[in-house]
Amino acid sequence: MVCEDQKSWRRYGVEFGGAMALYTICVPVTVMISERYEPEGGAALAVAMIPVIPTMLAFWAFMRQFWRVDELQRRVVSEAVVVAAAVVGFGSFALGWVAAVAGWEMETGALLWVLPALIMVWGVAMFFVKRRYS
Amino acid sequence: MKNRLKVLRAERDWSQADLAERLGVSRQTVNSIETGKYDPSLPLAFAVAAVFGLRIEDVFIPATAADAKAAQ
Repeated sequence: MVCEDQKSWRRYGVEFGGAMALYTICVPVTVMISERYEPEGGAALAVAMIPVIPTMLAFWAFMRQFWRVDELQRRVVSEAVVVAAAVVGFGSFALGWVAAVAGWEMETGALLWVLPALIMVWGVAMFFVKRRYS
Repeated sequence: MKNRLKVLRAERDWSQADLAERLGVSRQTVNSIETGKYDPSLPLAFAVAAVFGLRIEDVFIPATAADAKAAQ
């Protein structure tokens, strides 16, 4: 028998996975358009937003799951988000200062790693936070 | 906060999954409450008491000052 909890996580997997699948299509499309047409101004902004849309869909899937789960799971997710925000926030802040003091040239693409880092650290934090309550 | 969940479940021959289904929460949540790792919110505590047909104070026992001190 599949309980409601398992069903909701399965639904989340489908929604989040779908958004991520769309992202894997959007990235090469964005790269292709930017290399072929070299858009500027508003067009560049519009093209740059193409991969952002599926990540926002993924975030929406995340929020939908957050509202579906029970209070303990919500607490675990919230605590893991706080840990991830702190680790990535302080990490990037420290890295920014190191770059400024050491005179490193930071690539603009470095900002692209903030969201994946946040998701990755959140996943690791989930493991440890879950252990506290089990 | 201590609780009598395990005893009350055993009296009714309910598994953690049975109780979880009645409460509309995950089995892990029932386990965490039962083992004292997680104190439920007031609405959930009332729901737990209601499924057993008891008052909230018959299910949950507040930690005494001594318990709180020992936990520190």
